[in-house]
Amino acid sequence: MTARRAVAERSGESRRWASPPEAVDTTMRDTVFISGLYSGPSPSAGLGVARSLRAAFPKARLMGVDYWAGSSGLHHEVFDATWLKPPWDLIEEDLYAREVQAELDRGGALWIPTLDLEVAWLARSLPIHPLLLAPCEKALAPSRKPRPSVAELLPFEIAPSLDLSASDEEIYAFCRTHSWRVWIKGPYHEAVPVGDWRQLERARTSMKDGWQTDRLSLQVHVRGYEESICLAAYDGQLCDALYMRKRITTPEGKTWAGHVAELPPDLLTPIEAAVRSIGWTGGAEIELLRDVDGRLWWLEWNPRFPAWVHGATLAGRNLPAALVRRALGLADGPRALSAQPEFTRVVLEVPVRTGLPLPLPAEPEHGPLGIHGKYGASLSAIVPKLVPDEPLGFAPPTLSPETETDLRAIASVVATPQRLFLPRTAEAAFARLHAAPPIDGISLRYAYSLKTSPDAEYLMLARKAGMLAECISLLEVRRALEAGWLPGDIVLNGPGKWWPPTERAVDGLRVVFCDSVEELERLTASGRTDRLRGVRLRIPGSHSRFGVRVDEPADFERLCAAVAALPGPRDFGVHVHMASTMIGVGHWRDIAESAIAWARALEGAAGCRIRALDLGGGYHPDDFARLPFAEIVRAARRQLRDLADVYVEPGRALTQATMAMVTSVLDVRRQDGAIYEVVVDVCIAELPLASVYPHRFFRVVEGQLVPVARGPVRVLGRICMEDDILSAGLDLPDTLAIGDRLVICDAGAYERSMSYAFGRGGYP
Amino acid sequence: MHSAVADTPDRQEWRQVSGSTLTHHGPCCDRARAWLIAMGRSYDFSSTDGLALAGPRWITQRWAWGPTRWPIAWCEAVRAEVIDCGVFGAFALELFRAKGIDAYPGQLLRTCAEERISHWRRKWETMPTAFNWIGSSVVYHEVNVVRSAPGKAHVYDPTEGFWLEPAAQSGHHGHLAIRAEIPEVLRWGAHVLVNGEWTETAPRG
Repeated sequence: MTARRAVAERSGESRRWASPPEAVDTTMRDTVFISGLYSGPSPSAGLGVARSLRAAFPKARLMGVDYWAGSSGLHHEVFDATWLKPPWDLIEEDLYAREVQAELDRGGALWIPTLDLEVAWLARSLPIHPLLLAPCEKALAPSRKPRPSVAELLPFEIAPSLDLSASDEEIYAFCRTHSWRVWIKGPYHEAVPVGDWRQLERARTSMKDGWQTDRLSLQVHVRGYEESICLAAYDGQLCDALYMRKRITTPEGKTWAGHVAELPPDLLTPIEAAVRSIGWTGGAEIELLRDVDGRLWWLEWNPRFPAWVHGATLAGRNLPAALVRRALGLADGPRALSAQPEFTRVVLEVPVRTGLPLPLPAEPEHGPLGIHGKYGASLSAIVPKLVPDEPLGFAPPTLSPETETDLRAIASVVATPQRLFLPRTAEAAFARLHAAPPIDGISLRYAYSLKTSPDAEYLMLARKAGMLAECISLLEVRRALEAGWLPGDIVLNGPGKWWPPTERAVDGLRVVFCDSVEELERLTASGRTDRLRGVRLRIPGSHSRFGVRVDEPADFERLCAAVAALPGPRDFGVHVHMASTMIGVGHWRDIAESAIAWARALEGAAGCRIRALDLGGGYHPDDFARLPFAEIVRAARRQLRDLADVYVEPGRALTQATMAMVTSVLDVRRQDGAIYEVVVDVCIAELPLASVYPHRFFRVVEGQLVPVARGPVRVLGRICMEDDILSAGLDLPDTLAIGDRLVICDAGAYERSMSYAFGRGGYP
Repeated sequence: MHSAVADTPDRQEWRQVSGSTLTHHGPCCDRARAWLIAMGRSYDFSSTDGLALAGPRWITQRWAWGPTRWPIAWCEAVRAEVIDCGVFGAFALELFRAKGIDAYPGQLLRTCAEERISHWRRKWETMPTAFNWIGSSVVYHEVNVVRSAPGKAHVYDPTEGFWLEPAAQSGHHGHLAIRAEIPEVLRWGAHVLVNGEWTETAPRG
């Protein structure tokens, strides 16, 4: 016998009727407290629960409970009376817990909470009670985000997720792997989509401030129809459950209209087992996504009825009433769905309840102040009471053996900031570019992107690795020739590749990829004798400013005409470049395969032979080894019969990790003795991409490197620019002092080549 | 039970009509088809999303629905701003097949609110060579029937950009009957689709 059942029997609450009940029960006169009456665009379920109970129990006394006078459900006629309790930042919790307990103990009063946070608070603050129709702490724990164990009991796919306690390297890799289609999720609710590292940092900081906790997570976006299961259970026994497909949603993704159906038999059995396993009491909603291939994906388990629950009641299935009947020991009500299984919402005005005037508006501000959701203004007050107290540890960054050895050189650094070249790390990166044999007769050729890092060390390593040179200007062509490359080893790209006009336009290059049809036409008329010419394509839907547009039939026709005008045999090349660092690995592959499709279209439509496919650069060092170049080459082989070469242009992948910045602490700022900000002598002039991707930080302690995980201390640069923030938060010790040194890794590639002189009293 | 097909004797042509096809001029139409297929690959995030059966939703967003002057060639259709459900059906069929999905022409009979029908009738009267798809309370509509697994069909509406549900939905916009040009018998939910035959999916009225 469970604790809840035992209490119920001791208190003599079991009142099962012998005769079958009617759908409308006029004898039930108990009081039901229903909380969560916010009825704005993202409503709570309180009003829907109350309307459903009123439909089943016309004589019941319904008490509306809320914590903000602006919750409009307070004014609905369905409630006999209201309890407007203080907001969560002012409420005396112990006193309130005793008040709720007293109502429950008085007999004949039930409590149905519909606020996620209140459900969690009740589970912690009150003992199990037969009339408290909410899950206990033991039941609630397996349903909590981000990886609820109850999900393992159910036949749903689970979208990949990651705790934000992981290291930034791991978080960044997760986002790239999933093509930046990810959501940051709060500990109880709220989800914000993020599309790049800056957005992620902003959302993480904002959500951390709002929720007052670091317990956030990432979840992969699933492209699917929004559906959900609504259930009511009492003491681990399912009272009723149904399936709802959203038909219309609000801009916030909330249900506006839906189609209610029976729970399919293949889901009913596992749901019953899961509810039994965790001993659930109360309403719940399992949010799902159904992709077009038919797979059902778990999103989350909400520990209360959904706000649309009265829509199901209108369709013939009154789950709040089913829960109350079970709790009071009444016989189950009817379960037949009506002939109209669809519902929708409308907006209605209601008169304000006498004695409960609307809150006055706050004095207008220059921003969205005064906007309250279902928790009024006190969300941040309740969360710290619910989140576990133990401090959350963040994973620290790691180093490769080569980098660890290279960084011993920090001992010889005298003046800071100083950027260190890491020779072993660089050699290891370039050494991985072993010459691969042709794949299905096609050569995969690496061309070193000079713009990324034109330093002599890198050019030498690239030449040694047998790479070609990829240039975007005539100055870079000169630099490549000076480094020992021949014209036939140079791939020329970019929108301004013939700049500067004073430079000799070396002829006989390996490939020249034009950035516009106009450039291609000029090149055709120029008499140049480069080995191959081609175009960079602006792949439709890829949001790039570069390349030839093809998203209108007329644009494609014009390109075909320009290619058809080439002298025979019309050998041609196609180039795409969308950095996998920015768009992620899966989407990069889609772009590459799309380029093959366009190359084939061009070949057929313009009568040319596609001889070269250039896949560009912008690869993250960790992704470069994992990208399926060989598969892409094979796919290209199948589509393009005359293809001879596939080019890949790594620069960032080879050099980003091969430099580190040594910096000194200039200022340490404390609040109540605890460090919260430091200023260092490096800045965004030396690290212009500091906010674009995560960097690994280390402290130098007695000559040794100590990895620094995320934490509360902001690291500010030395210059007077508001955005000169090198880290949004690091776990730096209170003992940190002026003059202490930090090492910032991943300071090569564009961090080096795009750095600029600022705040140094002159120009270089 | 009324028969949706039998109830439309004024539309004999609907009973036997095949899925719309676009005419082909020559190289200009080759280029148009090549362009459409390449566009389809650019908007098909098959690797990003890992979905096999994603529909070509981009065509729904790109072209507006309205009367088409038939016959129409590929090179004219891709440049048109407004196309009817027959052109949408032809485009989507080409795109499904280009990515290796078994897709076939399909036709629906659908209920439609009478006040809306009278509006469409006036609109279509402005283009005499347009296909007459409008009945009294039932309309003709072209879709794609996709074989998603052996013996199993999904039905995609490229004009509206959604997959249809086989369960009957009564009233406006509900489907009454479906016809598919398929090489084998396929099951769409509880409905059995046979090549060239109209299958009733819901009672009329």
